[in-house]
Amino acid sequence: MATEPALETQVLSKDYGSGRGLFDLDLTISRESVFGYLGPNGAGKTTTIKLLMAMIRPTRGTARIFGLDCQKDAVAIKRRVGYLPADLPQFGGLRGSQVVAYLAGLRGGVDKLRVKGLAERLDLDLGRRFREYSSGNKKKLGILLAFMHAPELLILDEPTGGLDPLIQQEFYRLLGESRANGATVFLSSHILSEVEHVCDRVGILRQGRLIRVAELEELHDIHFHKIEILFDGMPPLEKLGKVHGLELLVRQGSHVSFTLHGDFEGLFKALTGSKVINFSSHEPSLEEVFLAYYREGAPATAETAAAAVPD
Amino acid sequence: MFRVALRQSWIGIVAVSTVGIVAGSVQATAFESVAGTTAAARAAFGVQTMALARQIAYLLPIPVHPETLAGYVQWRVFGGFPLYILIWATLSASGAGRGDEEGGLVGAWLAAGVPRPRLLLWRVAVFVLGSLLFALLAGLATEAGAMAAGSPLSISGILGETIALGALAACCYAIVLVVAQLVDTRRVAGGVGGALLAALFFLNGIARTVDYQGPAVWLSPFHYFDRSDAVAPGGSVDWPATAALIVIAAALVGLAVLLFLRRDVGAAALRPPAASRPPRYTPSINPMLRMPVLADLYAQRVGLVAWIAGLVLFAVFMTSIAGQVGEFMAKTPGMAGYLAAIGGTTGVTRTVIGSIDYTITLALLAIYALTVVARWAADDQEGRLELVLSQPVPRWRVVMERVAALAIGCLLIILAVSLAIAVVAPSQGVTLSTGDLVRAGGPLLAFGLLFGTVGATLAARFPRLAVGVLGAYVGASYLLFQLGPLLRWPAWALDLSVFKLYGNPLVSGIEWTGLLAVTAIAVAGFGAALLLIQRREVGS
Repeated sequence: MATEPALETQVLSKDYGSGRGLFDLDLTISRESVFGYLGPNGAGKTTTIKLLMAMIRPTRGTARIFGLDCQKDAVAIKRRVGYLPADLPQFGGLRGSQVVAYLAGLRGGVDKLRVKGLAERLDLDLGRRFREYSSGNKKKLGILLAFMHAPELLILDEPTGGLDPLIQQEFYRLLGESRANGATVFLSSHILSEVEHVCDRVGILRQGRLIRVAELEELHDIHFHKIEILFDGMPPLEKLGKVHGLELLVRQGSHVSFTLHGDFEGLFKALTGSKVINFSSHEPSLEEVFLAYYREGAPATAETAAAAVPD
Repeated sequence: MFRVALRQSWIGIVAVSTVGIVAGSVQATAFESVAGTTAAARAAFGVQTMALARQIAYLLPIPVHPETLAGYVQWRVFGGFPLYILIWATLSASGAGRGDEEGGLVGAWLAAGVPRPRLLLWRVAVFVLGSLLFALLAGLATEAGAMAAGSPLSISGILGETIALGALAACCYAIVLVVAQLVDTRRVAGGVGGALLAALFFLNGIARTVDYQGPAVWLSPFHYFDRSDAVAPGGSVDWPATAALIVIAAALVGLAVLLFLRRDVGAAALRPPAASRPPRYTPSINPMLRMPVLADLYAQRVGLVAWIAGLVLFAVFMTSIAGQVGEFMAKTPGMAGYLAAIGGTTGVTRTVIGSIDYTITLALLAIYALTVVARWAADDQEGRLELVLSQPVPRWRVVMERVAALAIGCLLIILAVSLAIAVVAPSQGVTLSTGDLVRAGGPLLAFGLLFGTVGATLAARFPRLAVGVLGAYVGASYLLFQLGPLLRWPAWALDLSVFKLYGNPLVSGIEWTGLLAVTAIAVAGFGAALLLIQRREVGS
């Protein structure tokens, strides 16, 4: 049914023990969207992808692609999916053209002209042996293999690692064209600028758990502000320490810097009576937002931060 | 760097030493059973052994006093060690010279500040130490067997042979190490290096056969080693020849180091300029790559052709000496029991072809099947299976295609070997009909599939252990089959050998019970492999 989401998981889990794996993933990705799956190394991105591709079995939960069960209907699903693993395996002495012919033979129905077009756009010489390929060329070959049959769903694990900027742009154009032709994209990455560049929605994974799914703009709402203030005299540390949402306060003489979650009302009240020489506030990049999500340990409160201020 | 080199080499050292210890102790222990206990029996044994040895002089040296235990083990044990060294040095030096580089280890070591000469020199040193250890342990095991038989060997002779073998090992290793610098992959290094060593080995062997002593034979390091026979009665180490081996090895290692210093990491020292050609953007039109099963065969085409060529050569050789071997067995009283066990004394040459030739073919076919299983395990571990399964391919199809490709590979080998035996057998006074060849060769297919499917099942659970365990079983089975009757081991022990299930169909017809058992195990292995691939996790 065309109304089915492209991808849907319910309580999808893979428990490797010792807290490693993927836990209770509930995720729905609508058709013709580009979903960015973010997380640091070991967060569970590749585990999720291997579950979707039926390479590994879930400990519990289900995953469906186009309404089909990922485990039971794996072959039917793979007819409609293009997959790029994080690392392409070694094919030693085979030439790129032979690797393509072999995998296209397994799939069947691959248009040679489309392969030619992709190879030209990616500037990939298929006449060379696989072992002679650089890591960037291996990645290009992986992209070609994922796109060669014009799939309805692209599952791409860290797709741009090793690509030079020009080819990255070509890859983004390919993604855009696929999407314009009705394809859905599930893209795992730890490169935030890449996700910002191509995705509509983003899921953030941490230690095997999905901690946030949001539209790209929505994700900015959880932003904090990075604020720096230069006072004429001693900063009002006691008042600042009581401001709701203020964290990571650092003082150097009459200069303070901190992050602020939420609105500015409490901060402005705290500044009443103090002479401010300079006040700057800027929105952090998605990268900084992301890093804030992954900062180890409990976030520092304004109180503890104030207590840690050096003289 | 010593520990690193040892870590890279210890499996080879342990494996070859184990084989050497088993071979040495068994040959020494078996001597009395084979040669008899009376002076007359031993004299007859000596005469027959000398006649047989002249027939196989291109493999083993001409023995000295084979009627004595010391002369016999000098011939059968120490005379065979150069073959071990040939194979081991090829595998080890191509791995050290190229394999580690392909795996990225050399790059990491160089980045860590290890000087290039040190890297190679430690590998050479560890291999030479390993080969000395192998020769010493095998010599001591032979000595233990000889003492048990009441004819102890000369310890100084064993030490002398150990040193001579170490020198030969260093030289063989250095030759392949130089080759590895000149080419750009481990496979080519192993192929070219191994072929070069084999050519040098047979140069010496042919010189022995035709009693040629001209200058060309001095090109072969095996000739230098041949000149020492310190374990044999009245024998000695040829110290100048041994010293010459060491000097040649040192010079070749120096050349290898020089080439390694001058070349790029990952590149061959000899690299012709790449031919200018326009880039290619289209997939290959090779139809084999697009067809199920044929694609698998295409991927292993070089190896398969090498296996066929190797087994055909071996079959030609073994069949060409079948008459001599048969005569040796028939005229050696100690071999009567063995001859009876392998097929009887009527038509001895036919018995030898049916038992020894086909049994060795069976052993080698099993090893071929295990190399194929090792490829399957590597496909899984290195991610190629994952990429295949990311295509719309049911998992059972992967197993079906693999087994079908294995069956075709085995069938091609069996056909080629049968044809070779059929062509050469008349020169030994034996004519084989098509029915004979089908009867003897047909069951081999079931054995090949047995090792393939059981190996695939084991590899699914224990990918690192499966090939080693099955390979050890093949080796132990062969030893049981060959030595059990000679040493009068109990029937239950002989029944543990898979070769017992094959019997000698050329002489006594197909062992249907054994064949059915093998087929049943192969089918069960196939079923288990199908079941396991459905359930197992890939790339986790």
